[in-house]
Amino acid sequence: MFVLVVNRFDGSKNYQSRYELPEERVQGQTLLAVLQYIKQNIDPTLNFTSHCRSAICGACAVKVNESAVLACDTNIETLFKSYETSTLTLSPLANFPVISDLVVNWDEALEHLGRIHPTIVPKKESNTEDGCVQSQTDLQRVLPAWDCILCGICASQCTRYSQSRNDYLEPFAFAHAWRTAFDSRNADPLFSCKAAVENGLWRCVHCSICMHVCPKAINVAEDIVDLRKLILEHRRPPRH
Amino acid sequence: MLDSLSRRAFLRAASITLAALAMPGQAGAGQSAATCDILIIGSGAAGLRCALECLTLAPELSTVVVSKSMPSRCATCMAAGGMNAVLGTIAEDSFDQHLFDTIKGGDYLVDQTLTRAFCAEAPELVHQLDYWGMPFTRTENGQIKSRPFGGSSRLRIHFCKDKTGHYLSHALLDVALSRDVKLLMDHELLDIAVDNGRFDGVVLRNLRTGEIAPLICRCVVLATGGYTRIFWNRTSTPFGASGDGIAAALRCGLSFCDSEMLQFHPTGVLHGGALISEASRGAGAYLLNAKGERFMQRYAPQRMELGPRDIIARGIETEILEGRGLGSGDEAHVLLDMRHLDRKKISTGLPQIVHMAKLFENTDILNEPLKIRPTAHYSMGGIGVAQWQTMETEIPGIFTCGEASCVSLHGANRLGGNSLTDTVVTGKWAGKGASTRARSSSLSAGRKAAELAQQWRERFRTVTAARGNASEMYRLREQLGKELWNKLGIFRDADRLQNLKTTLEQLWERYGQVRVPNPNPVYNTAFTDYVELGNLLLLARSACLAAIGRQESRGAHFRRDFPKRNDEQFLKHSVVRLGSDGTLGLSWKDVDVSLYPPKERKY
Repeated sequence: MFVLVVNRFDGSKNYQSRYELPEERVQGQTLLAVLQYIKQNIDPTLNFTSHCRSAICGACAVKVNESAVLACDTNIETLFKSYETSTLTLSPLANFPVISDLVVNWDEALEHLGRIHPTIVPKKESNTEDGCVQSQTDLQRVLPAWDCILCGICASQCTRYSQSRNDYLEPFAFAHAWRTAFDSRNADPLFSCKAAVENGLWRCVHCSICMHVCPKAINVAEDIVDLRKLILEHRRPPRH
Repeated sequence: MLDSLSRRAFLRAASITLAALAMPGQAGAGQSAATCDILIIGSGAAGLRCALECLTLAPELSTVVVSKSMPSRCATCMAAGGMNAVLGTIAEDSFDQHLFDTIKGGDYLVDQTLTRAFCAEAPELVHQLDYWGMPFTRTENGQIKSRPFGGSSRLRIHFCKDKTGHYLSHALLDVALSRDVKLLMDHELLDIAVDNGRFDGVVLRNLRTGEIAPLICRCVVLATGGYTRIFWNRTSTPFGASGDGIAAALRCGLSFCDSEMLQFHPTGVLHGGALISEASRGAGAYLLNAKGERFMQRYAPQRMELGPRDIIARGIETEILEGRGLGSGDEAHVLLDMRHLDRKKISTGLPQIVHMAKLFENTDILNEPLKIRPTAHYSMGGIGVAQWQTMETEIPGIFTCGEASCVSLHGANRLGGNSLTDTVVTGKWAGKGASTRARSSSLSAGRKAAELAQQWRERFRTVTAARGNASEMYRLREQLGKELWNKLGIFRDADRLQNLKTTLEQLWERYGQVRVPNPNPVYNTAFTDYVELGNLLLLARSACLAAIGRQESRGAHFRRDFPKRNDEQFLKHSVVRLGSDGTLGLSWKDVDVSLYPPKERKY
């Protein structure tokens, strides 16, 4: 017998629910499949979000024993084994306002991403009729950060962001700043850096947890170093 | 006006709440209703591209994009292959060649004049995406690269790895956020209000609070995507692809065109139907039966595995039916083999395929063949459009674009690579149409919208307050999927369809009795599932009716009892409407075949 404990919120109060699962419900299943089984057969009031079930939309990120994962991309049997336990605790992502159970509010996170202005400033020689010229090598350089699916896992696990949310951004916002700044089609690499600096680029503590937890293995900590170097080539660091 | 302008200036944040849009004096009886100028429902590529057009053409108007969840949780992000456009990099290609491939792919149910305009518009919009920062795989001289793709006679599909849709949706979201497009997240469309033939606003449910309220706007654009979730677990599309916009359009009196035309993608993973991209066959993958034969030689001897989707899907099902498949029943399948291909190219060029094979079938595709079976993939059918240049429907003020619409670009079978192009082209057209219409129209009183909102509030109470078993709803949904796969799937005939019609009537009655005993309004996903299931049932009944009516085989619609195309009777779009008595009616409308007269479709 396996047990999932879910930390829940119904809009006004916090509580826990405990779901018992026979072994055959767990074997070879993803965490998402198990959540769906619970909702459809045991408790229809359990709320979570999911969409693509193939690790490309980012809707189903949840915390398992304090470590955030994509539910659709995580084999639950492996989870029980790696924690050497028969009980796992699920919670909503940290550092997001919780709406209900495992569902979080993305308003603020997208507002933060918008602050970065994550789009290139086109070069003079580019135009909307013919687009841009870019070498495959230059494209490859920025592609890793384009794997970001905005699942929020890095924001949930970030050491610095967990400490205070009013002087720093979700790490994915810095990954977006990086992919914009280092895009060879961008005429003004510093444009998207400005907001990054104002919003805590120099406050990253380099624990690299963002890279370790990212389901797409994006190395945001390294991206932050790159952005700092780029800025230092042009101006002095901020005073904080 | 002054009042609303200052209010607009106040709305600086990327995301907003319905309350922030509230204006006193609307919705009659002294109640206040939220208002905006242009409301776009759906935040996939079509919805976002439409919003960007509105923002460019009519910056003085307030444009709001509604999302059921958050914008990147869309069907666009799952599209793998790429987007078609004649960029001029392939010497022997032309708009007419793109047009002809689209028409032939669509088995002549494609409206030709507007599709020519679509082909002509595509290159600039692809270049524009490049200009906006979307990544594209490049040629040696830095141009956007193209590759072969099923159904296309030339190298015309532009892509980035096997995640083109993901890059497209995120590039558009980045532009939208940078330009301060207003997003209304976690809101669900319940109904569109039409008062005596006049558009009167929409009814939205705020999932976060459960509040059900009208939103009064000058125009609404339905960019809500397709309805292939009618097949429930045998589709490649996301769980949310429940055709909410199409169902609401039917309920407000609009037409649902070519509803029987549902594309089956040949290569879904056996368990759950998630998609293995056509890029796998573009790279040279084989399709093998139980004997190890490349069976496509029987169905498309020249194109083989690069034949059009419907022909390959039927080929696979025929192999299974005639006993040359592997497994049986729900486990029946054939194999996709990539072992003979360059391993490094596959693992770096098609990482998503490698990942999916591992996740769903625990298969290392570089070393073993993958179990696959066709899966419902795309809705050619959708909301009928009265004027393609603006994507406006028969009711002024209501527009549609993307997969939710049927304009008709895709006819009886969509050409691979045309769906992402469709999102940006029709999204642009709808944005242009809505901007123009919004400038010349006024806000309605919203009486009908207020009435519908009240009905939905009562429905929420009835459905959630009573005792009952929500599992019954989920069983009903599973049954719907299985019935449709078996009777409205790749092979159809009169007996099965009539049987399905009766079954769907029974399911519809059972649905009326469904109760979801959870009265908590806060993010009540069980009630969302309930609303979506109602939409799926309505759309499934429509598709079944049109499939019964179309007594021929054309494109994705294959009738075993009428295996030939019949241009004399059925070179027509099916049109389903919902009567005021709740019954569905079927009629037909002409197809524009003014450029290429119908010929036999052979590959």
